[in-house]
Amino acid sequence: MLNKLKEQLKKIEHEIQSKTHNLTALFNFADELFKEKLTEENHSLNLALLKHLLQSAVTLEFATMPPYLAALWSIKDERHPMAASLREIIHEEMLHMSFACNMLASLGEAPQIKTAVPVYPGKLPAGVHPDLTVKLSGLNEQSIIDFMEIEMPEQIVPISGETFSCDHTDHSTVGELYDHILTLFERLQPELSVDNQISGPLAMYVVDSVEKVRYAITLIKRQGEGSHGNSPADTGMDDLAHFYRFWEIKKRRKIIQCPQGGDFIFDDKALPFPDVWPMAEVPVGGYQQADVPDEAWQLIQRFDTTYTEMIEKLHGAWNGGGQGDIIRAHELMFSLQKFARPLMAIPRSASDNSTYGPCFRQVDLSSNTNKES
Amino acid sequence: MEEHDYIIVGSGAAATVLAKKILENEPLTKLLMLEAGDIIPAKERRQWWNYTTCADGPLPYQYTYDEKSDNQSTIGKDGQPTWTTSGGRVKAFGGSTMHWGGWALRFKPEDFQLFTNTGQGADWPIDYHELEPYYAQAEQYMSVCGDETENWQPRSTPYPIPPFEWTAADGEMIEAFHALDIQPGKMPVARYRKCMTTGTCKYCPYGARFSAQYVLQELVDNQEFINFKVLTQSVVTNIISASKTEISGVDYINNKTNQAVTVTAKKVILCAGAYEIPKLLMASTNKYWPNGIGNDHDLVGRFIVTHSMLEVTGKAKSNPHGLWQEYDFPTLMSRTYDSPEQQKNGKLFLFKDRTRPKIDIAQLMIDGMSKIEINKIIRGACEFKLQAFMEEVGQFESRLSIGEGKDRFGLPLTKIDYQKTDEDNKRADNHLELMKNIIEKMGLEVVKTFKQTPRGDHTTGTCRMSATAETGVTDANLKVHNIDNLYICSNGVFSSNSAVNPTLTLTALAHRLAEHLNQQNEVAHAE
Amino acid sequence: MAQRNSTIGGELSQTLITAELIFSEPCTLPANQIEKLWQIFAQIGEHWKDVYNESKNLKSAWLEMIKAKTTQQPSYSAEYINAVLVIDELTQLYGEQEAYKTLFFSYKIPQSQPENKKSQPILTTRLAHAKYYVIDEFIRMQVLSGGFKHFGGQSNASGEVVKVQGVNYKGFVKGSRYSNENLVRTFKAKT
Repeated sequence: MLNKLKEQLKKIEHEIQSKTHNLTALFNFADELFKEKLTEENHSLNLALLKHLLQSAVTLEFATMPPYLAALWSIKDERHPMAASLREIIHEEMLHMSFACNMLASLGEAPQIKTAVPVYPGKLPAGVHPDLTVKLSGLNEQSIIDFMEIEMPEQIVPISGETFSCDHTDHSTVGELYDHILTLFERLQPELSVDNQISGPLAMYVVDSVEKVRYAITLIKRQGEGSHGNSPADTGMDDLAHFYRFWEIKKRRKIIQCPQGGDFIFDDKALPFPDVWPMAEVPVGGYQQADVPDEAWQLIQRFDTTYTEMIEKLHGAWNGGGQGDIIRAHELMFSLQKFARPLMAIPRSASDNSTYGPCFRQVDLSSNTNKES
Repeated sequence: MEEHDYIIVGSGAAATVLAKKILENEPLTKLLMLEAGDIIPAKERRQWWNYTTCADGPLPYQYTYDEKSDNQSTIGKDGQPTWTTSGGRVKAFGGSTMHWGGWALRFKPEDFQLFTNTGQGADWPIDYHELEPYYAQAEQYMSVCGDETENWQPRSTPYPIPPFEWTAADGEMIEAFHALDIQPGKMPVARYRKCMTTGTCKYCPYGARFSAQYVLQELVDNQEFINFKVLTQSVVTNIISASKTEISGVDYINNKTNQAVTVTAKKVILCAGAYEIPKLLMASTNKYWPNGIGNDHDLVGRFIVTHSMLEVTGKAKSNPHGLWQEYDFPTLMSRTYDSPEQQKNGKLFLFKDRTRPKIDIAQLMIDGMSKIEINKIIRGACEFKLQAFMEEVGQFESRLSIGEGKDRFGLPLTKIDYQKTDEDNKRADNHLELMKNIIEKMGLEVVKTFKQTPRGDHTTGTCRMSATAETGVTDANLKVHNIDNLYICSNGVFSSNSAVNPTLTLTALAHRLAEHLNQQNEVAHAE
Repeated sequence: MAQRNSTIGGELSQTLITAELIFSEPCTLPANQIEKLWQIFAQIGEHWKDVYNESKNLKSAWLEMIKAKTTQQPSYSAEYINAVLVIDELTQLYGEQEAYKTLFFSYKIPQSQPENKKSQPILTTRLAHAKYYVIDEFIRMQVLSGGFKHFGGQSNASGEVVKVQGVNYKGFVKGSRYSNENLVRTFKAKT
């Protein structure tokens, strides 16, 4: 049996190398592993699986941020409540990613960020929601539906009696991923090192015990999906789970709770949809220099360069660079919008109502030279 | 010798706006910027750790401050200098916004007509409404956060970002303001959106507090601007006249090589601040301008004025809520006494000292106090402080001139002849009484009042704008009177000082001048 | 029992040296030295009962500070090694807990003008160096990184803070102003 599991793991690792792995395969492997008691012989397999699941979590959490950022920046009035809601979602995704990185670092493994950056349009990593193609576009009806699918919980709490469904049927979820991660931590009870973990405003605490891992995962799931079938508002009505925030945007209504019975309903009062830049879906491969006006190309190029630098720093933070790198990563992240927003104001053509948008591509930084003064 | 389109002397807030707007309009502009100081790296981690953990909390730009021993201002009756300069400005790439507090307030309409309204001082040759659209641009540029519903002055656009809310420590003073019919306001501050509230604004690790240095570095790094150059450690010593009405260029010393260099340009813009510009003008004597460029009427350097800070400290018997400093900028202010009605008696801009109550937990631990002792101190007696800037009127006799000797950058030292008038002293006393009243209304015991010796941070007036050459140095478009191609963009051009910080107004003027120059450029091309 | 200044430490601690930072080239400290320094830092939390459970949350920031101070000029490497040696000696003499207690609560760096606010510290012993350049700076780091939260709140009868109060402090990275948490303690109007 042990040999069979070792073979299975080898196959999975090969798929990971070629970026063709999916969570279903990992979950199946986990199910096989969990049938066996933990022993010295299979310990390394359990640990290897945990590390792969955590790396998948890191990559997934990162993958949601570019489309959410594009949608956020397309909202012209940054003070609009929907912009505020989106911004909070992005902060929380950052927190989730940081927790996932910390968990991986606690096992002595360096999270890979710069080698696992998704391209758009494309599928989410690790085969999550395999029928969904994630695109970069402004905030619009389709992007909202896509975001809801990304955040979809295993059990949806009905709002005003309504539920949500989409055309795609395979919905292996991020929640299940974290469930497996927690199971493995509890099974292995590993000794956790804090040495390469980062804490700060975007990663509230380090994980130095399995109990802390449990807290972190509970928070991630509650913020993302809500608690299991019970409430979209475990972290407060002002802090709905992401799925339900997107649902509010879709319905143009706030979700409130009935005083009696505790049911959740959509408020009667309509929420105005914000004025947005009509950012078109970024095409496959992103925009090329020959196809866009100079003004747009300058912004696209500077965005991609800054984005690549940000990824380098983010990766570096958990790979020896520490706090200094994450501070620089934050700064770069915050500066992306000064290229993105003006870009979204540039029309693609006289006849087309749509505008350009950032491509979130990794570029070769070695060709950049700064002028000396 | 290559002729530049522009030479800009200085690299601070005004210079950066001008360079940015000129280059964005025409990326191939041949623009040379000359800065006497050096580049001081920003957001450097070791420097931040030094600042926050070392006993003396050093900051990397402090070495550029004027030395106290260089002070050549008038000595007052008390045997002390009447004007201090040390700590007031940074001489480096990016200029003094490297160390400023970021308070970004507009002047008010009446500030532009000080003489008409009060018979004192001078009127600006432009009014508030003419500058208003540029205030809006400046606020957008510096990401100023504020509350437009406070209605301190007319505005065409909301603030780009909502204000920082009042802190709990502001509470007692807010209540006192209300009780005395003083309208409390939220301090508008130039904070980029990425403020992470570290409270270390003086050397922000995120580059969150606006600093011209960041914008200037982006301009330098922009591959499009191939003809833009910034030369640091380059001290301009002379402005060269080709004729009475035309400047041909400047001389500067390259401090790296000790070489004297001459450069030429179609237009020269002086952005080196309210001290260095008048000294440079006065030093630039020639057959056309025997008293110095722009100085035929002996007005360069005159009317020097700044804000003297007034302070009243009140002692509370206890601090039951354990309040201490949280932000590194004030959140509470009031412009109730910065009003047309108050103008003839001297305006007053009130704000709460951000650092009070001052609880230095780390120092108490370093001093060996236990936790119980520290908690007792936190909840014990503490101080709150009300501060204010009072408006003063520039006097003809108050003047800045070239001092004896040079500083470490090779810039001539500064001599300042200045005396506060009896009227200023009387006004200060009246203001202090008002401020004491507020402190007492808070239920505090007044323990100290203080009138600061004027320090040069907000110096204005040394090259004031005017309608005619007989009454000032620059015209309504910041062009030096009677010279076709020399401009000044500095606090020095302000015709009045108002009661609030000058930087937002300077930035607005820079936006306006940039637009003017770009329009001139387009007309020239069309011809 | 806490020791008085003049008798604190042994031959090593009382060795006379110059007041300036002990010179060393920038270098990376060995892992065991860093671990010993970390123990010193963690003891601050233990003795003031702030961040005693959460010291680990500060480790990434602390490591960054150590790296910045040892791998760039002026390097603190020799000061850190000195501090570890001083603590070792004090521990040998008084036992671990007493050693820290003495260093934190009893030892006072001699001052040039004790009654004057502008007094300068006299840093001429290894002990004084350890206190000034290492202990004091670690205390500042710990407070600004989150230690302040454990002061000023509601305390129980034995002075232990049971309800944390502080939200922000100079040097503390609270978060973006668009965070949904309060960045500072905010003013609430009396209704």
